[in-house]
Amino acid sequence: MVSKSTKRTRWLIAVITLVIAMAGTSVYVVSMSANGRGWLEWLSVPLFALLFGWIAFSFVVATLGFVRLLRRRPTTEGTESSTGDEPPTAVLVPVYNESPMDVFARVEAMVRSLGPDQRFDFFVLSDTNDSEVWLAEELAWSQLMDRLEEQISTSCNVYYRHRRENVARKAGNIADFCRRWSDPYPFMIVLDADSLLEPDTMIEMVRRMRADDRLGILQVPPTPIGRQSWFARMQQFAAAAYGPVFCEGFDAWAAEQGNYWGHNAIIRVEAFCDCCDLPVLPGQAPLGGEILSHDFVEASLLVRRGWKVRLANDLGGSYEECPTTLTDYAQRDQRWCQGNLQHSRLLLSEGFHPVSRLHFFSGVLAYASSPLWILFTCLCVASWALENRGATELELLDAISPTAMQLGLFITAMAMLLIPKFYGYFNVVVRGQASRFGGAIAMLVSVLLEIVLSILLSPIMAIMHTRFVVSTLRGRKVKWSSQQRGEHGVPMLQAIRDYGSLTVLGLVITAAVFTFARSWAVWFLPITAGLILAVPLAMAMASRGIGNAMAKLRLLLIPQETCVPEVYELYEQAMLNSQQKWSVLPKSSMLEQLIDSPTYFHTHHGVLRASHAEHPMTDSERNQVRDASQRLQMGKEESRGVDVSKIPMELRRALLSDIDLLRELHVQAHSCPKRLAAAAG
Amino acid sequence: MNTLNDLSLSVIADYLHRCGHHHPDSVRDQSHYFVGLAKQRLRVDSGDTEESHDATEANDPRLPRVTLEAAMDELFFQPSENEVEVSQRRRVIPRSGARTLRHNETPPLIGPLRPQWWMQMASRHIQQPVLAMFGLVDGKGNSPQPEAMTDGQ
Repeated sequence: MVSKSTKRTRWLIAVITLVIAMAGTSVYVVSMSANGRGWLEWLSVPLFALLFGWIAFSFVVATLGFVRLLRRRPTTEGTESSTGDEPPTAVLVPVYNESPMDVFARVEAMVRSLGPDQRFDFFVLSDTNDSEVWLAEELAWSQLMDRLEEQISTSCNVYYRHRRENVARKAGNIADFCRRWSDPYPFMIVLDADSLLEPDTMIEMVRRMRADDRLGILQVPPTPIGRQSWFARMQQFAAAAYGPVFCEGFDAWAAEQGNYWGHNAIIRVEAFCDCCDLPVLPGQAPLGGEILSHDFVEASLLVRRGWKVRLANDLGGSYEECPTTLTDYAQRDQRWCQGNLQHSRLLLSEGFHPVSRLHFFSGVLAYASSPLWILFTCLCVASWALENRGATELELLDAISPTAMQLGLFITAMAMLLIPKFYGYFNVVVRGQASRFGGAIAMLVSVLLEIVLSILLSPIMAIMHTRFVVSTLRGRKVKWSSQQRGEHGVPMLQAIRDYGSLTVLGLVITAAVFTFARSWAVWFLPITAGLILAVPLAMAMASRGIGNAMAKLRLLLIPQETCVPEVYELYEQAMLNSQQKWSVLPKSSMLEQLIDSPTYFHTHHGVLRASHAEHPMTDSERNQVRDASQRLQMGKEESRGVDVSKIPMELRRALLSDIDLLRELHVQAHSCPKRLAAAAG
Repeated sequence: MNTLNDLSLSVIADYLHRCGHHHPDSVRDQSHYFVGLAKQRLRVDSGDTEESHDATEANDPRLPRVTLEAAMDELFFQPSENEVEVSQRRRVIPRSGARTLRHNETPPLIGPLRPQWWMQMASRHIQQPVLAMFGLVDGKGNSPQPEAMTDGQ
């Protein structure tokens, strides 16, 4: 199943990585002798080998990607439209307490961009448990349906369904779709709430799936776009500039045993249903129980049964949004950390392809490497301290001066980390695309700026990742809530609360270094500077003002800013329209509007019934709702109308699934004396 | 003129208007229809006949509420008889045949991480050769092997 060239590539990467790792480790072991080989230093050797090897692997993959990109000829394969006879493709948008306006603006943009002839059925699959957001989703969907009927010529449908219980999170949401509604669809494109796909990309994804009947998943690498904060711009730039190099290298070795990143991918429904029902891991959460990061596991389950999972690294037009602040980024990482650490069980389970195991391993190491680096540093410092007990000042000075070999190792490691960034730069320049990044010089400055920022942020992220790993291993469960996706900045108090401890830690390390080994200060500078500056850094990087100033200077620009994709323009237009529509809505709560408006009630009823989500409350709950909605109103106006604002929040979600009680409240609201008088008058 | 009857007509006309029914003739006809339906329901509730108690239902304070309920039942809850409902149903998620997801058991850990695997290995590589050796010593080693029995015999 694996081609010869892929096998050769895998061997090549493995051998070169092994050679670099062994050479580096040998040099490290030899360099240890300068200070005598203590048992603590010996403990650090396997850690060094693993971490150095991991950097080497990443470097070799990027190098291979760079070489392949330089050799790649432009593809002549055109995008073909479907003939119209083929069944439509489902486009799934699973949502969980997201901004309804934003979600439906994205769907509208994609529907409009697809034009009248393309057959895609969009399914907004809501697991939202906030009653107000749920109702807002229904309203946003209903408004979009009105626009589709009146303004847009399209063959696409947009469906909305709400699930009463968020069983098994996103994976359960998609599985529920597969069980109930996937029958007419051979393929499903899975999106995230912040995803956008260009129409040509969607059509090409479907074409490739049709062309290869063993292709289970085709993942299109998503490019983050659309954010303005400095931090977001940095991520967007890094993804746009360096991403292609890494993706090309990744595809070279992973080939048909690639990976799935959870969204912006097309999946063969039949294969998914056959292979991807997620097993439950033995033991309790956080490492056991339900699988949190479902994507890697689904890809590995498909590969296990012989399906291809491929990265379409040559396809563009796939977008997402990134966190705008360091705190949002960390929160997202915390969720991913637990999910990835869970994969360690599967890494050591039977039946998975070795390449899938490598995906699991890389996912684990993405977070575990931070505590390992910190442990390595601590071991080195501790062994140095042990060996130099009672040493004279002159001996100390001699002991802390790095040898040529140690310096060489440091330079090699830094080079392996930084050179791939320049691969990205040269790849863009060689292709004559530098103008799309603001020009060759502006892009070079952007690369240097991104490197400095990355160095400053790495100790912060390392400590955060270490916290996440430790808290996960200590058995603390992560609560999976919806992401904060907006641009909201970081006020000083919040920054001090979140990062003040890191500043203190940075100051303590600096003080210790100056006390015990002053000449080490330079070596510790990249670590201590980031930690000491954590508070102002978190605030500045969350700033949209600084981000926009960068853009004016043509720094950290991405091609999607110099030439905005049509689908993104449509999305912005749809957002504007929605904002205008929503600004004239009554200021009352969505539940009040539901009880008050027959059309809204009608929509909600239709959604409940079609989603099979009707569920009556218990008699005692019903009575609580009745009491709460009537009693206070009776006191004030002596009417028998309903005052839904008094219904307890914890009962509202259940109330929304109880159509009979809703109907009762609706009738009561429309037949109350106040309204009767208005009708009669 | 009966106040509650008129009030019910006004309420239901207002409600239909809010439902998007704007044609005056249609609203008037439907209002009368729903009020009539409500009276019928009240009559069934009380178990009376139409001729004798028409005025009773018209004076029943429940009339506006029952009229609204009747309208909602017709408009929203009995879809097959109503055009509006059909057009609304087009919007919601369609019915479709069910698919099943093939269940995946939790994959077992790789052999060396399972105690049973070590037992099996020990059995295969230590116990069996030892038994075989004892078999040879006892002179039972000449018994035909299973493969030999199936080999053309």
